[in-house]
Amino acid sequence: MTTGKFKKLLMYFFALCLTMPMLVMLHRQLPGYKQFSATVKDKDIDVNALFYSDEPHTASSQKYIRSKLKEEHE
Amino acid sequence: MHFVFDIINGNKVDNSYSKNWFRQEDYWAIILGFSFLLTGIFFFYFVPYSQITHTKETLDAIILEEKEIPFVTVQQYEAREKLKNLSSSNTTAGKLFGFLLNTPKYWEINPIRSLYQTSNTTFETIEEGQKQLTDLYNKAQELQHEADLLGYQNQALNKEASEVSLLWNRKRESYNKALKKAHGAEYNLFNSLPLLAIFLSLILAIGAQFLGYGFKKFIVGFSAIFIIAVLSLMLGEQESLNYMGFGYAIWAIAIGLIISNTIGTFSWIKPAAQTEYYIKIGLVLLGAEILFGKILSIGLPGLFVAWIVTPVVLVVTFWFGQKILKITSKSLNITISADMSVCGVSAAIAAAAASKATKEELTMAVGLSMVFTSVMMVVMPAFINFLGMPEVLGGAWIGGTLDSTGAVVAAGAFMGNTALQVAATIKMIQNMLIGVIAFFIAYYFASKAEGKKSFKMAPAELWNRFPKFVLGFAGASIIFSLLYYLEGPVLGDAFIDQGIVRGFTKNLREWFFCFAFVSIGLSVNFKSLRAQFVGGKPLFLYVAGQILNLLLTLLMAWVMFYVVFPEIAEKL
Repeated sequence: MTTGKFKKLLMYFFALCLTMPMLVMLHRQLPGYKQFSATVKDKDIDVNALFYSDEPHTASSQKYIRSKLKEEHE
Repeated sequence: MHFVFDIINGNKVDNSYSKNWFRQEDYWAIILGFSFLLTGIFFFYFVPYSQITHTKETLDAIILEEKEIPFVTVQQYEAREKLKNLSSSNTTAGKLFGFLLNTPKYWEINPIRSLYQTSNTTFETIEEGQKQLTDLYNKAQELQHEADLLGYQNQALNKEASEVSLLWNRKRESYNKALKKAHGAEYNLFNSLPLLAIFLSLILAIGAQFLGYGFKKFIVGFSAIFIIAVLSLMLGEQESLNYMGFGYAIWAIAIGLIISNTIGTFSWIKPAAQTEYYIKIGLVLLGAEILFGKILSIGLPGLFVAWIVTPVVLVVTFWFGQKILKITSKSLNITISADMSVCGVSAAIAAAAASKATKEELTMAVGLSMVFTSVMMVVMPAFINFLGMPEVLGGAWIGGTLDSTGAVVAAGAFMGNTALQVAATIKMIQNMLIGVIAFFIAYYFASKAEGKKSFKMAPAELWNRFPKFVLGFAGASIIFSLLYYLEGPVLGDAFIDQGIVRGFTKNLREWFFCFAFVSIGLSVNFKSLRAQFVGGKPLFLYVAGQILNLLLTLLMAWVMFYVVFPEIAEKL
């Protein structure tokens, strides 16, 4: 590994380390963020779930809806 | 088939044909994907079948027996709870797979927390909670016995027994929740991760050998891919980054990009940086998660919001990209359109693989989706609350428009419990569309020759061009949907949704997608990525499509839940 390449790697690494906190700070300024983060923490939600099976709440939601619609039939 | 006949007849095998057959990632994705799925079926369906069906029958009998009693007894509460939590992933084999496939966990400051943590619940706390519950249980039993002796004619006694049972149930629920949180927080990934790395590298290296990457070379390179994948998953679980919606996908790409664009991807890593190989296996596994039995979970309104609006938005956005924005790459256009209209990153992966999009195009779609979702998941529910929109309408709107499932659940929860349930269910129904869409995209791209508008293709040519892994993807979905349907909602959930899918395939799929994103990062350079963004057309496409999506979904949700089926909205 040449010194130039290593320097470049460090540069990118520091750029990332500077950018991320800035993005996090910007995100925290969005209207409603406080309530949003409190809800996520309280309900233990996986914000990054890509598919329904990655998020446990989808299973309980389906059961909740199913029971509500069943009540309707009864 | 010729290859098989040649072997049977003792003829000289057409070497080029057989070589091609085993040198295609699509076939290996199907072979390995189905090997995993069959393993899942064996351990999560066949092995625990009699035990789980027997438990269900026993619990049903308790519920039925106690129906004559004018209040809900503790036994009934217990039976209902057990029935709700019935799952084949609670078996010994299920727990073993759960341990092996564990991914890094949530952490705030100390990254080690992501890999190792012990329970912080003391023995005394558990004992105290258990004692309180046992006392309440005994009291409820006594009261129920007294009420039984009086033939349930004493209303005051019935009321008291009912209240104590209900109190016991509430206490039990919170006790179980706390216990689960404490025990669920106990993990040691330093034990499981090396095992998983060895297990996956050996299995994947078999396919790699046939695909020409080399058995040993693949194993050596895979060790680096695995380490970067673990780092990406850890970063995606960091509290602040997690709340921003920046999951492992973006980190895997970012770390890979930084390495490849600075020190360069080492030659010994390259044999294992096989994006298509991982993506296609991951997609075959994803097929098992597409259970068509779920599409009517919220009745017709949900189906209209998720299954009518989505394809319309997808087609119109694609048309807009081709005709108005004049995006030169059809695969970039369809990947962004699917990503924005269906379900974000997972749809982008499926659309990109089906349309044979480049790694840069997939990276672009994933980046756009993550940035927009990050903002929309906070702003949208705040805006809906500000407008005072009903929770059912707001939940349906969020479920149909936000890209990723996690963001939908978080945004729905922000609005309220009903919004959370509606949003999560709508998103789940929309998720099921991914299989159909991937199939049509694959067919469309296979049947259209580049540069020719109406090209009639011979079936053999179409077959050659068709991405075969899509058949594995569709096949897995059909098999698992059938199993789910045949077992009915309770056992279907126990064996398939809560069993094979959530206990096995989804964890495995997450690992494969992560390896794919690491491989993308390691093989893409900034210049080619920047070239994709020239003129900002992908951004315009995403924004225009999302505006249409927001308007159409809101209109459809309002028409369905408040004009055509208002009784469903009332019940929810």
